[in-house]
Formats: sequence, structure tokens, C-alpha cells
Amino acid sequence: MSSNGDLTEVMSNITSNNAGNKFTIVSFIAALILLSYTGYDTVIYRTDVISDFAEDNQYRITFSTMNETMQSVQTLQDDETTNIQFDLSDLSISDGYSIGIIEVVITSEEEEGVSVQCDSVAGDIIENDLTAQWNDTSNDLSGQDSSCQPIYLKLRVYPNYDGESVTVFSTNEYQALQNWSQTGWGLGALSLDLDLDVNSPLGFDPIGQDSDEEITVDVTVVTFSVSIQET
Amino acid sequence: MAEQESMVPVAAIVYFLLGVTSLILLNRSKNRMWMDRLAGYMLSWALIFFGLRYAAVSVRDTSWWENMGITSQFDIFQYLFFSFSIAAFAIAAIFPFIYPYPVFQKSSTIKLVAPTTFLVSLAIIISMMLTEYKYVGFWQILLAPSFIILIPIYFRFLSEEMLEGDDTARRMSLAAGTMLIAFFGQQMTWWLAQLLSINDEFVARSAIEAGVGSYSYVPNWIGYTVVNSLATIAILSLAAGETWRANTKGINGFTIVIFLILGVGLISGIADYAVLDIVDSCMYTVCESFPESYNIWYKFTTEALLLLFAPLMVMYVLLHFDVIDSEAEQNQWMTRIIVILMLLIVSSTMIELLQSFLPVSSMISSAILAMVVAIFIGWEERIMNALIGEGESISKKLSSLNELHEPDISENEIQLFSKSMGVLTAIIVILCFLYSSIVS
Repeated sequence: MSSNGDLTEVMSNITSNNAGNKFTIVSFIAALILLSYTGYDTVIYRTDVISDFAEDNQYRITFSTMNETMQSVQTLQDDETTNIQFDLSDLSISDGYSIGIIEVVITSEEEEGVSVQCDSVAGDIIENDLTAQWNDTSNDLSGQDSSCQPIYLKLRVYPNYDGESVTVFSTNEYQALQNWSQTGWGLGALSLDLDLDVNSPLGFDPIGQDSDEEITVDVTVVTFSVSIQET
Repeated sequence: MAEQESMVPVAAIVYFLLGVTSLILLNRSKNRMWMDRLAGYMLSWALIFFGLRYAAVSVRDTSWWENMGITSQFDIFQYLFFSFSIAAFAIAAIFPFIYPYPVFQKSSTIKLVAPTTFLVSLAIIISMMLTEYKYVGFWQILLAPSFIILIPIYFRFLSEEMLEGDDTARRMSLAAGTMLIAFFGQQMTWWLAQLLSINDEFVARSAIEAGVGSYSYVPNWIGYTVVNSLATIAILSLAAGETWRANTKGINGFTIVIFLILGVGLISGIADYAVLDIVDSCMYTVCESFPESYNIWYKFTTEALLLLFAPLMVMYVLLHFDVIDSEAEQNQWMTRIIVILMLLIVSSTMIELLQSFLPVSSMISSAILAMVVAIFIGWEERIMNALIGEGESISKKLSSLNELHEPDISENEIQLFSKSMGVLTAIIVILCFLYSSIVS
């Protein structure tokens, strides 16, 4: 008898073999079981996990600082330029701390000569292979003074570190701290050029007493550690 | 290690060329029964849509397009990629109702196949376009009917062959099994990972990598879970069935393919388990990249199966089950050319891929390619006989069982499918062009 194409007849033909039906039922039941537990894992459990990422969490990052200092006292002759190196590897930086900023204070005291006229002192932090933010706009790499005031220089070493606490939005603590867990900054030596130009009243020092100057260079290395709190 | 080149442009050529050639051969095979002709058109258009989908990806990856400096989230080629994918999936959803065992046998329902495919495709394409493809993964459930229909057909005819000694029943179980691999091949290689329920971690990683949006991923995950689970049970069912058959009838080519996929899935599952820390890194630390060896493994297994071997399987169905009349004088030369061409393209691509990470000089790879060409030329007769000579029509088998209705349906009504898909292609191209211009 030829088929008439009815859906019921077609379906009964497909399921006409009992052994085949048993295999099919086993396959369908297995598919349902698999669908149920993988469906739970994917659609319910993973949805919860992913919902944690749907909106970035807000974290507040604060910094604890610890300063290390180095000092050098140099006596410069008139019109002399000298270079001083501060090897940062000489510092003992505590575990978990990174170098954030290097601050330099150059001081000179005029005590000699007839008029005790202040000399001109200039200091420059020289760009070298010290790993730091050399092009950062907040840097003060050069300074000059002829009024016996200290010269303040600053070099940012760690990217974006300014000591102020920051608020970040991130999926987890690890990613929030990623910008603050870099290594490799502050390796090398700080190179500083000092320049002295002795000033006398009207350019005249009759007994030639004021021909040099003692210059003190104080280097403060600001190190920081990070703590994080979800807000 | 040389940079690995993408298989996608090759896939675009293979799919498109095979689809167009099949359409030409079908038009010369007027003596085929309605189900063969309709199935042939459906497979051909699915191949063409896949070819166009991969062509869109290939163009988008060219330096020419990158230099265009398109910054919008979606461009015309992304719209084309998604739209042609949806159209191909819509055909795949309706195909098991026609082949290898037509559930739709009434002329009234057969006539509805073309307009239904057209309208379903268009409705999904437009809705996905308007929702920026946020839920495009959901439509993988369109493959569910393939599992529901093909598994009973496979087991019915396998049981008839094994228990009742009907050797001609093999062609039905073989066709059903081959179509299951063609539809679920990619997901079948993830069977162990799905069984262990670790695929959800990969899905979650993808979501986080893509950037978690303000919309729900649940519809997409339903789609992925359904298709991965059905593919897992499909490959395990096929493995069980083929083991049963191999015990009494011996091993054949299809058995080897099934166990190859099973083996690939086993190794992939172990590899997936081994990289779970990397997968989870996105959630707990920061997304780490997978090891290079892991990426190479997937390129040669899952990706190659989807991009290169799936079209070969469709070609096998078209030729082996006499969907197209390869015996006809006018079709023979074209069939031979296309078969050898397909095999050569796939072989040369695999050799090139191997060369990209193995320290093999180009002289040696050229020699290997020459050997492959020689084998294909020398065994051309044998390959063609394996594909065509043993070919037995599914429709004839069903007719002999009195299970195939021969409705009063004209050639024009069958060809309506091809015409409507041609119109759909034109609409997709115009729609994508206009919509990408509007939103950019």
C-alpha cells in the first residue's frame, strides 16, 4: 500500500521498529538529563557569576607611604658643573612597596665673601636609563636659584602615582589593582647635574674669598604600598 | 613558527563553489523524485549562504577593508555575515523535515517549504538586525529538529539492518548519521566538555571577553546549551550504533569518521579541563591567552571540521545518495571535476596549515602536495566509484518500503525554493547595505 503522506502515518512509520524506538528513547532521555544539568550550570549558575560582571564594582585604592632618604654634600668651585649619582639599588625597600616619586631638595648657604651675596645654583635631573615617567607633565626636572632658597625637583617614577587615593571601577580586585602592581619602575640610578656660578657685588670680590660653595642635595624616595576596599 | 593563515577564505570558496555547482547539476537532473530535488536545492542554497557568510568575513579581514578606517560597531560585512548565517540555519531547521525521511509528504505542506524558509529567515534576520545581534546565539535551537527527527531514523534503520538483515536499510542510517555530523560536527568535538559540564565556563569567558552588556545572555546560553547537549548525545548515539554494527558487519569509512570525532572530543575535553584555570582567569584575575598548542589543536580539529570537512560531507550526501544525477552523460565531467577540486583544495589547505607550524620546508610540502595530486589522479576512478558507483537513492528505498508519498507537485513548485532563496539573497544584500549606511 502506497503512503498517503499523512503526518500520523509518517510518524508511525518512523517509529515502526521497536528496537530502534528503545535506542531513540534512551537517546532522548540522555539528552534531557544532559540538558537539565548543563542547562542549570550555564543558564542559572553562570548567569549569577556573570551578573557580578554586568556592572563594574567600585573600589577605593589608598596608599601607605614610606620614605627613604639619601644625601650628598658637594663643594663646587665657581663655574663648575658636577654630576652626582644616587644608586636606587642601595635603598632597602620593604616588601610590597614600590617607588612612587623621587623628590630632590638642593640647598646652599652663602657664608663667605665680603657681601655674603647669594650664588647662583642650578640643578638638573638628567634623563638616563632609570625606569621612570620621564615625560610626565608633573615632573620638575630643572631648577635654579640665586636667592639662597632651596631648589625643589621632582621625578614621578610609578605611572600616575601622586599619593592621593583613587577610585576605580573594575570587575574584580585583581583587575582593579592591575595598574598598581607593576614591577620594574625605579630601577637604575638618579643622575643629577649641579652648577655653581658665584655672585659678588658688582662682580667684585677684592680678597677672593667667595670662590666656591657647599651644596647639599637631599633625595627623598617616596615608596608606597596599596590597599583596596570595595565601596 | 610562521603565522597561521585563516582557513575562512578557503571555506568561502569551497562552500560557494560546491553550492553553485550543485545547483547547476540539479537543474540537469530533471528525472529525480521530488524529495531528492527539494533536498538538493536546500543543501545547495545552504552551501551558498555559508559560502557568502565566510566571504563576508574574508573581505572584512583584508587590509583593504582595515584601511577604510570603519569605526562603527557593525559594518556591512558584519550584517552580511550574520544575515547569511541565519538564512543557512533556517534552511537547516527545515531540511530534516524533507530529507532523508520526509516528514512533510503532502503537496500542501511541501509547497509551504519555500515560503516558510523565506519568511522565517527574513523575520529572524530583521529582528536580529534591530536588536544588534545580542540574541543571535539563541537561534542555534533551530538545529534541534535535526536531532529529534534524525536520531529515530538512524536507529530505526540501523535496527532493521542489524536485527532483520535488511542491508539496504544501511543507506538510510548512513544518510541520517552523515546529516547529523554535517549539522552538529563542530559541537560534537566538545562532547566530553559538555558531559563534564565545563562548556559553560568557556561560554562565560566569551561573554566577559566580549564585554558584559546591559542585556541578558540567557537566550544565547539556551541556544548554546541545547545545541551542545544534542550534539553530545548525537555523537554518543552514533558511536553506540556504529560499535554495534562494526561488531557484526565490520568497520567501514563511516565508523572510522565517528570514532575519529569521538577521539577528537575525548582529547579536546581533556585539553579543555586542563586549561580551566586560564578560562576562569577572566573572572578571578585577568583574561589570559590560551597556549599556542591548544589553539593549533582546535584549528586542526573543530575548525577544520566546520570549515573544510562539513562541505565535503554535504557533497558526499549529494553524490552518494543520488540526489543529483551524476551518472547522466552531461553531468559526469562536471561531477568529476568538482570532486577532485574539492579534495585537492582541502588537502592543500591542510598541508599549508601544517607547514605554518611544523618546521617543514616549502620544497617538502610541495612534494607532499604533488603526491596528493598523484594519488587523486591515480585513484580518480576509485574515488568516483566510492562516491557515485555505490550510490543508492534514498527516495527509491523509501518507495520500495511504500513509505514515500508521490504528491502531485510540479517542477515549478519545487523550483520555487530556489527562486525564493535567490530573492532572499538580493533582499539580504540590499538590507545590509541600507541598514549599515543608516546606523554608521
